[in-house]
Amino acid sequence: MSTLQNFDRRRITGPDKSLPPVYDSSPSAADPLASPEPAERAHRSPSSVRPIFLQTGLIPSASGSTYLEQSSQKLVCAVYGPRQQPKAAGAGYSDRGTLTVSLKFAPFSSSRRRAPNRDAEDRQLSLRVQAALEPAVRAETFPKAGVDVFLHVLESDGLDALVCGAVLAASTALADAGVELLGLVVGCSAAWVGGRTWLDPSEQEARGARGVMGLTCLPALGTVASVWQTGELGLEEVEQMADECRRACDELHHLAVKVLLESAKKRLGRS
Amino acid sequence: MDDPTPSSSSSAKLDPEIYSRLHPRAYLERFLASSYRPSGRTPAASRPAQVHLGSISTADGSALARLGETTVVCGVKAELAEPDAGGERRGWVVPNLDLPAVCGARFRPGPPGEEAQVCSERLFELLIECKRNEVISLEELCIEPARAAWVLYIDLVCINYDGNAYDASVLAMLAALRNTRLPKARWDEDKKRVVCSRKERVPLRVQNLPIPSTFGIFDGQHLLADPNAFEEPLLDTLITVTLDDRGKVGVQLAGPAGVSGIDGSKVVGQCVQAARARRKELLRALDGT
Repeated sequence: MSTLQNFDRRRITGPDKSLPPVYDSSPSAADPLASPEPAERAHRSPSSVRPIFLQTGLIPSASGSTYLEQSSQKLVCAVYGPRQQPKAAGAGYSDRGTLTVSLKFAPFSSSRRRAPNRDAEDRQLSLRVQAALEPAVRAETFPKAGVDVFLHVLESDGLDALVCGAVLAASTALADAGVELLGLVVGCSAAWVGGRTWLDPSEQEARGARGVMGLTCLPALGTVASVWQTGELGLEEVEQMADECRRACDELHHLAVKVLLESAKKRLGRS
Repeated sequence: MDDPTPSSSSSAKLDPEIYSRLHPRAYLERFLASSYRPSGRTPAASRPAQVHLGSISTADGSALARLGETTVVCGVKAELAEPDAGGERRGWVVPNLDLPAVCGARFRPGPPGEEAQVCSERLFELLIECKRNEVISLEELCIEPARAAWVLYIDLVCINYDGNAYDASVLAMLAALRNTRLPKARWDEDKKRVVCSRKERVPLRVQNLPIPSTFGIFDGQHLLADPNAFEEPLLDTLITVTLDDRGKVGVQLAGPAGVSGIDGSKVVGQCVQAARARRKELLRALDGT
């Protein structure tokens, strides 16, 4: 099987097998991974979300697009459509349009190289983003057609935070594309570390946490779109984390609205 | 005025954007008749180039290059492998361009399409072509002969496609390679593996900068520098002139090279001239950051 996988005519292939470098010293004391549950969070307060830069209209040929940068998390989102979809076998007529989300990692986007084609993770994350967006998109407004949301991750730091960033970028891009939404979907993740909630955990912080959860919601309607949770957590702990996530989501919602308003003003000024 | 298309009697009322979609050839012809292109450029004008270095911390070297709207991000990641039997003292360079579905409406998710494959192949050739003056010396990537060598995975992602992806990719690739710092590595004979220093990093030596300039010929009459995504599908011929540090010239030509009255070989000469000036501009963009 491995020889088959390595035989790829469509790409330039290197050696059959290569490994990431091995370093001499063990991780230094400054590494947060060294102690599993550090009491103090480095660089920011437990309830703070990393500062976000969000921009629309990066890709002029797309119906809508956004670029999101959140310290070492960078991703591009493009929305195409509503457009005609290739006919799926066996699919009959539907008076609802389809929404497809596909998230892809650039090979250099993680600390370990992601070889193309051998990644099941992106499929799973695509579904999580799709599940968060679906309650908001008014699919009945584009029957028979489809809206494609493509996300390309250039750099990532924490997968739960990535899903939340992707949801924010995608819902802003959908609005930028003029796709009718019931509201903007935003998301926030949290980790339970040392008896406290740390919002928007990085990869290392999430690994050191007892449990991690993510929540996406539509602050405009006050409804929750999706929730996921992993690890060993009590019900009260989850509740407390969810509350903090909700509060952070309100702020994220303000940010997305501001960005959209500014881009709409710019567009009106031009025409 | 001559009507270039049968439907142009009604074209006066047509929105220019719709007209450009329905009759792209006629649209471009009309612009070129007054020596301009729809983008506002003259036929000989290239788009401004921009390079930003090192924005991706998960890569060992990275760069973002823009040619007008075309944007390519390149990340270099180094891994270790055992050299092949045929080249015991050589490492690898593995360049791959991805034109993902985000970058334009005509790209679909899935394995790399024809254009991306051709482009990756050309990038690979560019890196290994000049045997004595390679961009990266493959021998220098060797850590211990027949035991271990670096593999440089040079992955390029186009995040906005507006034509001439090859020139933009080369720019991003060269900038990312110049930005690459490899951990200091030595072969540990006892452990039979390579040990890298966590603290010390050495810049990768880039010894040659071959820079391409692409031109297109439209309708056998107009030579267009640095074609964009609207012009690209209408061109009969693409000419890429690559100039390296020693002034060596490489020319890739696909299609008939004549331009109304001018001999094909002279057209290539003209392109080489223009490429010399363009190379200086692009080198400035590479150094400017």
